Amino acid sequence: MFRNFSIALAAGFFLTAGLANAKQTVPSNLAGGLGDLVASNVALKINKGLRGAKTFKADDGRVYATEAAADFASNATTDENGRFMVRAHLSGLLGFDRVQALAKRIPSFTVTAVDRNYKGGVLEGFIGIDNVPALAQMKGIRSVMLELKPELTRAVSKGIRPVGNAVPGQTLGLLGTAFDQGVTQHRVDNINRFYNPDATFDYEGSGISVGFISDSFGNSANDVANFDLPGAGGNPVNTQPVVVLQDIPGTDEGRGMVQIGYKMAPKARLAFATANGGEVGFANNIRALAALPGFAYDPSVQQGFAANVICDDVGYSDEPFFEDGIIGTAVDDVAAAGVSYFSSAGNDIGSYDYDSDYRNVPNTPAALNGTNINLTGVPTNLYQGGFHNFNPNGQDVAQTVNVTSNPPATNFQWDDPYNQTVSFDTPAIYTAHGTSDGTTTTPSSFTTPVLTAGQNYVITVTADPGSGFDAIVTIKDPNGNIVVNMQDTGTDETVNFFPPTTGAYTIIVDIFGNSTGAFTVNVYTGNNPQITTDFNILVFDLDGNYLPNSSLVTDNYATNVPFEYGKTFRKAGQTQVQYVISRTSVPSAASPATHIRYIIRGNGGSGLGPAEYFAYNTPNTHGHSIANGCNGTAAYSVFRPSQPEYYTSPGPAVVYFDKMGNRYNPPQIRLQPGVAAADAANTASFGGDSTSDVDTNPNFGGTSAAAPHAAAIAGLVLEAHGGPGSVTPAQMTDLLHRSAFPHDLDPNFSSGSARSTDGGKISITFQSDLGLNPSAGVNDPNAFRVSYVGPGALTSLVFNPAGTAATGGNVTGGNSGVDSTNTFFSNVYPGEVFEPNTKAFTKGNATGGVVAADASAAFSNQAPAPSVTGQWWTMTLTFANGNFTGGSSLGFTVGRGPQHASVVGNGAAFNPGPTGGVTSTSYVMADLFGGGVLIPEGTVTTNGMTFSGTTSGGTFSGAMRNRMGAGYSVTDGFGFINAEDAVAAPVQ
Amino acid sequence: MKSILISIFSGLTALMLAHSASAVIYTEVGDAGQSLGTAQNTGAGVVQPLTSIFGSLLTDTDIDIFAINISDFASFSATTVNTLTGNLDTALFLFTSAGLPVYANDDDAGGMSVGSTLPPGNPLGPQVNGLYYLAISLSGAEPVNFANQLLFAMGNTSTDVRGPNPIATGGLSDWDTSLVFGGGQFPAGYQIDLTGAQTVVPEPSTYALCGLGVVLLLLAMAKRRRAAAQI
Repeated sequence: MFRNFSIALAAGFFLTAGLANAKQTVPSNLAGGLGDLVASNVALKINKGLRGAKTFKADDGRVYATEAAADFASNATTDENGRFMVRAHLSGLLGFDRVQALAKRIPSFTVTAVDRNYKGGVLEGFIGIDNVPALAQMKGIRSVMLELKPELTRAVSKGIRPVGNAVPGQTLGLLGTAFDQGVTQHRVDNINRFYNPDATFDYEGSGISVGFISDSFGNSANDVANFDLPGAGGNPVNTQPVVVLQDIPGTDEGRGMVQIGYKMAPKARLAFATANGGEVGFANNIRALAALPGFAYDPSVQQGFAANVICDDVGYSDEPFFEDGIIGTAVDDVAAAGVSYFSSAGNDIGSYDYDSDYRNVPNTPAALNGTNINLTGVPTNLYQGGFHNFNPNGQDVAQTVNVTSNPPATNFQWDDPYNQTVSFDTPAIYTAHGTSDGTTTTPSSFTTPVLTAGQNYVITVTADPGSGFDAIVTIKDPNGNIVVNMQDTGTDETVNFFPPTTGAYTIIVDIFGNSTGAFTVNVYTGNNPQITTDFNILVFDLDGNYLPNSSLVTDNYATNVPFEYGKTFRKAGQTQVQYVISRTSVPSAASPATHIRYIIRGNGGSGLGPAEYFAYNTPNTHGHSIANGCNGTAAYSVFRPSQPEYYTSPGPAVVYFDKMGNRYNPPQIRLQPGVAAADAANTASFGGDSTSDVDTNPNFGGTSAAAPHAAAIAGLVLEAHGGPGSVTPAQMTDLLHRSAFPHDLDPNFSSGSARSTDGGKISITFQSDLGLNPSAGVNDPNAFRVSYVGPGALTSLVFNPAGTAATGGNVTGGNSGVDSTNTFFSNVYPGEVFEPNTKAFTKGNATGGVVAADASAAFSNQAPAPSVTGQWWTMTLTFANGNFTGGSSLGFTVGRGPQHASVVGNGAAFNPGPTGGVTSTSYVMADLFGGGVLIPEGTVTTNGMTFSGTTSGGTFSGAMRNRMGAGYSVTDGFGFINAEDAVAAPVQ
Repeated sequence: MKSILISIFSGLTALMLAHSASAVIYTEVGDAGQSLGTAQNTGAGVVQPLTSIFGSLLTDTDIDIFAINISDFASFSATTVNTLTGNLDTALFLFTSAGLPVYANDDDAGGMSVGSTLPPGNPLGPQVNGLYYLAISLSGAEPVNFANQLLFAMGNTSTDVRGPNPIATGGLSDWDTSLVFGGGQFPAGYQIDLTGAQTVVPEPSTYALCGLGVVLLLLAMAKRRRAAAQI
């Protein structure tokens, strides 16, 4: 998110002419915040000795010129010497070995990992900030990205979760000190004789090797001694120590993952490798765990380990949304070698994000109609190509977005290819020569032959052998308009260029510094897909004023990635900002980008997301978890109700490009996440204690915890089918898809429909998630929608008219788990209550004859304890004046929640009921009103909350439902894995 | 069995009538299937304008699919006529020849009828002439792909005309009837009025198979009758 240096000036204090020179020292091919850091570094050096300058401190104590730079520094991967980890992507114009040799001359640059095969190749390593420009300007380097810290998918615990229990009365074996409830939820206890001596089969992972990747593993001595990890001589099931290929200090989340794998497949051989070494390091550790030739560690470290199954819970912020990146390629490599791979799908709530085809509004004054956006202060080159229309049924180029005071970064991407190499046909269609005397070039400009609009051309300006010339390139179209402005990425310049109109173009060569010497200008016909569009997110406050330090405006032609990233800080005193998505120019490529998406990575947190134009299941799972060789893994809490976690990242994934950057036509739709598994189960060392179980062990939440559960089950499947190699990765994926419990196929949605005795039809739709986006969930005034078709009018609608728990929905509410004697219990406490005290009955949009004033709500049938006064079983809606005629509909919302939460209190004595936990005021999801599947029993209940009512000439009754069954759902893929079924399922 | 035979003969009659009429009304023969492979053609002999389809849903989860030729996509429409059906709550779906979703409707625009209409000139409607498949079901049934994803996008209300679900790939694989709330008496007859459509006639070999089927059916009935007489 390098906001160009002039923006940094606006934020700070550097208003001297001398800074014009500083700008020249910030190459434009720095991405992922690296430009901000270099600009800050330059500014501080120039400003040295000045007083009164406002500076910002990063987490490591170092000072930066801008808040954005300090934030990037805090989130960057650094070494003990304060050097930043970067990835240098090669242009493809020089051989890999040649570039690697040249890179050794860059002071302070230490390469830690290389990838020869990803696009033009990648060098990853640590570098001092002073030397970043030299690396970026080095021959053979196309762009340099800051390597931010990896993102773990351990969820932020909301702390409010209805509790649950698993084959009642069954006392299970306890391995170590913490019982992993995933064992019972996945029905592993029915196929494992350590936990259950009466199990029909005994699959414990014997002969199977499972690898884990996370941030760090740390000191495992206590876990080993307590049998929460294998390796101790006296361990009852497994004396093989965990193999650690590489560890870098972190939160030791990886050890929590390995504990899960061990509890699910106790006799498997396990290994760990870190993902903290950058994307290339991560990718190479995937290959190392699989012992791929050339990637395995020294035999003394590797110890012969070769994984049959691998899982991870890490993502990097700049992993692509719409294609396979560095890590995804490694996943596919090991899958091709026979390894089944699992990765956390992510903890990003769908309503936090925005995904749309790009709808252009040309850059005219009318573009801003209906908004208060004031473009004063916005560089005009940032929006010459027009604006995105957020309103599919009208025009609105501004979107109101909820942000917290220190929000997570917004990650904005579109369907252009990443890190494409430069490739062109030879010979050049135009060649010319010039010289520089240090002040002027001769000639000062060059006129190309006629160039065809939309065709890719590559223009190079290179210093001749022995010349010290360093070029800055500007290109003008036949009408004299600037189409490439002052590109300065290195000593030589390479411009990927799509002429907007057919005609002869002018290339103007300026001098960087006082460099002198001869140079050559070549124009080639390009033959490789490239970045076609430079999008930006311009951020404004609620009064319409531009917020430059919150805006994401990198030059994507220079960074060579369709990626904008950074925090969109709000104005003090406001809780929202406005996003305007713009293009720097009208794309002239034959197939420009057409699809945009941004993700605000909440990781289960609250207070974020679009206040308008949002959808509950906006797809956001991305990165390597969508690779073809990966089983992206969604999460279900081990506690009831039995449904996907509210934060698990929705799919599917849409992939526009192959690994060479060629566009798929049509794009691939990948059904990710593919599977779902347990989270929030006990571990011995990682997470915080849940109030939904009776023990005090830490519970590990998030899709991070789901992935190792799923991976371990894959190990059991391999064992059951004959050991390593008995099931290919593709067969494993298919088998697990077929072995899931039935599930809700329309997540965050339930519906009901009924015919009245006089021939009318009443339809109710209900869409809502947990509402961590403050504009969604219970605050969405159109969460419920009632519509009517038929004669006369709808006059009343009563939810749960019988006023009982059994007719109140939430059919999988209750408690399940193990008690203090490790005995399994399973109690169901159904029923949703209405809570107008937490959210009053609020009307939304009305269509047809009905108007909001016609509707009123009354509440009756006070729910018994644990509900409190004002929590009702029954809500009666009355529609006055006969206006709710055929074709009418009305939206509304109201407070609601499960009558029984599952909270039992930390360390409280086991007390599963009969009243269970207190009534929830936060679980407002639509799915709780419909039917469900009880896990681990697998019992399907079709109907949820009942309803009845009257029309002007008849009566009706019905029930809310979810679409239940087998198949793909956007939140939990093909569903929560039933391990008992999986080990028995035939390979197909 | 008797009702099936009646359907067969009425269908054959309709097919024969088709040869001599400038526009035809097709009557379902037996039970039209719910897949492309078991869909019924809507004519015989030569291609002719198709103005109506008569048929019946045998149960609340029955779906009937018919092959039709859209000869004028701009004027194509399909409408269920409820005066015949006792206010049957239908839904109509149009698929391409490959089973890909085109558009669908549950309840007529205006909200006064639970009948269904695929309107003419709708931007979601067919854009080229050719072979299509028209499906009718009770409200609540939805076509799904291989992964049980809905093929059509959900609407805000039942009167919406709905287009393809953008995140579902592939064509018709099955039907999800879990949200059919049912009710009514079955079998329930229906009438679909069409504009801009023509019949789809079977290949000659299909006639032969159809005839063979009828012969086998009659033989089976005769055998069963003889067996019953022996008891």
